[in-house]
Amino acid sequence: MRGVKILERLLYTIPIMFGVAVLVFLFMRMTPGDPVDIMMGEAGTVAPGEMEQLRKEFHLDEPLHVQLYLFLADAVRGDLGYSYAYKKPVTELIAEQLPATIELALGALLFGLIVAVPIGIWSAVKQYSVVDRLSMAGAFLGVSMPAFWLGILLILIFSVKLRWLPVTGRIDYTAGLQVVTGFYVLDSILTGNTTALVSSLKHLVLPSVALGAGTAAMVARVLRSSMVESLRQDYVILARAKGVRETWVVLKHALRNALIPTVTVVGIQVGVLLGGNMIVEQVFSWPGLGRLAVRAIFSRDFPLVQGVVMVYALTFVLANLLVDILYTYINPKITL
Amino acid sequence: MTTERKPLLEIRSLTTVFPTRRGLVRAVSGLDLTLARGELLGLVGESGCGKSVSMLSILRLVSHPGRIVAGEVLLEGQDLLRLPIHAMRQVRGRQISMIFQDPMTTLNPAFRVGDQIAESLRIHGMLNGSGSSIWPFNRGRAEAERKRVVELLDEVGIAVPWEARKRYPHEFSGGMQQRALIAIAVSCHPKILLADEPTTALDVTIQAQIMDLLRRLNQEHGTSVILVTHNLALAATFCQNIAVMYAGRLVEKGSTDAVIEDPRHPYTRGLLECIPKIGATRQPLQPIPGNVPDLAELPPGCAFHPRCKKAQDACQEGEIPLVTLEDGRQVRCLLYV
Repeated sequence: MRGVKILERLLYTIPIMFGVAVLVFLFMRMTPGDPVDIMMGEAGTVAPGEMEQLRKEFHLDEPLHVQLYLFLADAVRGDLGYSYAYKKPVTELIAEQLPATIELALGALLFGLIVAVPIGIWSAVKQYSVVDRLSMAGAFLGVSMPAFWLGILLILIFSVKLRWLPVTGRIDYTAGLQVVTGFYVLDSILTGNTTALVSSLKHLVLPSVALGAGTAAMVARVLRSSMVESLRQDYVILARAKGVRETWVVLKHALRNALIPTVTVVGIQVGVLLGGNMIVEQVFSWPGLGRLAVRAIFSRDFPLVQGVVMVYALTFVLANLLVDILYTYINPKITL
Repeated sequence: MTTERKPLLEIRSLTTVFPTRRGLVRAVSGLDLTLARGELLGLVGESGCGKSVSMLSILRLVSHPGRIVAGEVLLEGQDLLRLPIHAMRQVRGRQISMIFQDPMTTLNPAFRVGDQIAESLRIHGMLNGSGSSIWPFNRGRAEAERKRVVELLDEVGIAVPWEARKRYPHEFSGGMQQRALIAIAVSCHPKILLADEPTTALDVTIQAQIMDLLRRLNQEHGTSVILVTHNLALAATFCQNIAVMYAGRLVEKGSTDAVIEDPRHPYTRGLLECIPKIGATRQPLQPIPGNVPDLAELPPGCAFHPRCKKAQDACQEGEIPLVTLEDGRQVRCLLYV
């Protein structure tokens, strides 16, 4: 039953993705700046004939609706076009960069949860204590601090001053990692390369912290308030009246119910971490999708922007679906 | 022999306070109450007179910022208020269980009913030789656990118990939820059941069924019950003895017949006068004048004196003692000193 519902929800993503594709196509054409001009500006002097030639090649001389039709017709077949700037198929470029982005997002999520869950629970149990006030102030700071600023700060302290961690990139090229999946941490483990594992983990720390700080703050605040709420409920008193240890009263009876609102926020954060990392990837020269998107936008690389945005949209949709599925396990009152 | 004579539960001058902005609210102030083995005791009083807080105080479950500042709660001579917390946990659910007012919010919505019953069994090691672990690892024990849960659900009158154990609380009706809570409460054969307004949230026919169930448990297992209620008529039909509370204190206690036929304390009399009687001569009901006092600013002396028809000057001064009359009745009123 659940399987059928999940399939149904997956089918719903098709019209959503179609809508996203049309929107991103139109918005990109509305932005001022011509891709061929920009390309030629970089190349220096060119003959006018050459520009015409390029326009024709990219179908930029066709009317808008024809261009849209061509784009959609290819996209349905899984072909997102050919990047103007990289001279490579967009799908190939995305496939190359996606693992880096996912790895960073997972790192950030892991950091966020490791920090947020204990803080959220502890603050709720010791409401209005010093620990609670300090951590909530910290969370407020975490929410308000822009990721790029935190990133630069982290680089200054841990890389430049203390020299504990590398400044940029994903790995030392001297580590000699043999790429299998594109996830460097996983690849190092698969190939048994300890040097690469240490190096890739070290490179992952600072960007994960910079990206995950906001998530940590957000999740901690939501978890705290839902824990405060559920600790006030009658079922908590019942659990104590049954003779349940206080630890289990908190970690089982209260937390289980507090997870329901928290999971929503975590789900949204997964989308944010995968799609909102352009700045952090830029700061740490992380070769991921975000950096690709920034470059593509500046060079009006229409197909590449369209492709990346569609990947982002898909991630959001899937993250939401995942949350809805998780919900049915956590909250028995909800079915898909 | 002496232990038999001793009451099962003896509460002595129990005082529970809640610090608030307006001052110290004395929810329970110097409550004295005894409960014998197998006794069905009704604890009656208006809303906010400290009934529920006294029950929670017995199990030391008063929520922050409330705290018990004085008194003793003796269970078979042992003072629960001085017990270390781990020993207190052995009392909760094992020696003394509690049933709450609102079954809907009291069952945990995230867990299956059967699992919530099984948790009690596990905590108190009620399944052959098992320790007090939360998680079931042992297959034989899981089987024994399932069997016992079904038995319990059956005992409290839930139809198709082997199916019901797999249901979540929101899939139950209010009456079934309260039955499930009673199953949790009696799962470890407690000596005392504290029933805090167990039927207030239920409709009248279900109320009668639940009261029958409690009475049956009392008769079959000899479980003593304190029934907390604002409904004097309900207490009168169910209980052997009735205790009346006013502003955090016991004002009268005696056998149900005696209290109903011949109430001694003016407050008890007042309570009885506002219950309509079928077949009685048509007379307007007599409400007690005035309001329940503010527990942060209790009147000096007898807390009831501002509303009392028989108040004397002496009622405003000093502590009024609880006196035991010749028929064993306890009254806290100067008329009987």
